[in-house]
Amino acid sequence: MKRKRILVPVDGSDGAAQAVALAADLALATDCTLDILHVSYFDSKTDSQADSWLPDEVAGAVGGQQQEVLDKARKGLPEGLTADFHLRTGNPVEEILRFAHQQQDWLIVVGGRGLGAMEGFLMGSVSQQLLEESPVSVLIARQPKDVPPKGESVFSGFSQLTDLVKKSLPPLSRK
Amino acid sequence: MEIKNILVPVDGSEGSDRAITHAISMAEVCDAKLNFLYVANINQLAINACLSDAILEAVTKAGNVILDRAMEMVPSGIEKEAFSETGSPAVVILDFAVSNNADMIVMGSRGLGIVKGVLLGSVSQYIVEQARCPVLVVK
Repeated sequence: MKRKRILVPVDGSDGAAQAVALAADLALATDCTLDILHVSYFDSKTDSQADSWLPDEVAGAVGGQQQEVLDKARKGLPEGLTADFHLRTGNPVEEILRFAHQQQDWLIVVGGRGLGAMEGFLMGSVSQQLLEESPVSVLIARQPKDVPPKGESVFSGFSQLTDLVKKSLPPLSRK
Repeated sequence: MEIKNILVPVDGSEGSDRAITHAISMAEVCDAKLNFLYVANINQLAINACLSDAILEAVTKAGNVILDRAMEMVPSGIEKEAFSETGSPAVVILDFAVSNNADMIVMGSRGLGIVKGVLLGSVSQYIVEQARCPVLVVK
């Protein structure tokens, strides 16, 4: 198996920072180069030239934001690691997979948040979609505190509900 | 973060074989121990047939064959151990990961499940959502 490059898509989130840390450890151990990639839907070309009445978070320039995301990832890197930084514009999942193909990355390392049934459903998780569509193996960075204790998960809430329904129903008579 | 204990759930499928290969190279670079786990899905069997000793024995044998094959794939010099459990695979794998302090779970993206159209196997999906350690989904 060829092990040359590891891809870490980043979006400035804590999950992405975890992914960078894990990927950096792996890259050092395997002597790989890190590809750190940020994909945004818009770039400086799509920034509006005219002054807008909308607040800056909505209509402001995105050029600086993209660099900020990459800088944040750069800060977390240990000494002695080779890393390349890349910016792409477009649909995150499509761009990440296209990039991984071009660079022939060995592995994609992603943050683990937003993978829950509800988050994935409500927010359209990039990690989830990558997991399903990637031809390259995907490593999900995860720390214990990211996962709610068993009592709080959607599934246990559901089983509590079914228990409640069972209790309220009269027992089935067996013949 | 140090990776010293890698959990590899196996089910004898093609995807699980690829996961083993990937896990071996991961164990090599991290100097980690490989823990292979086979979970006999007894719940499912109990629905299909009345559970007899003969069936249980057959299931255990099948599991041992899969585990032996996994153990043989590992080159010498890498620490390895095989475990066999019964129950609902996703739940057993997660419990095992916690009680054995797994630093990483390496698994295939699709196992022997019946629904071919589903992109990510239900066991993999559950583990990806619920695991407390990094999960490597091997393609």
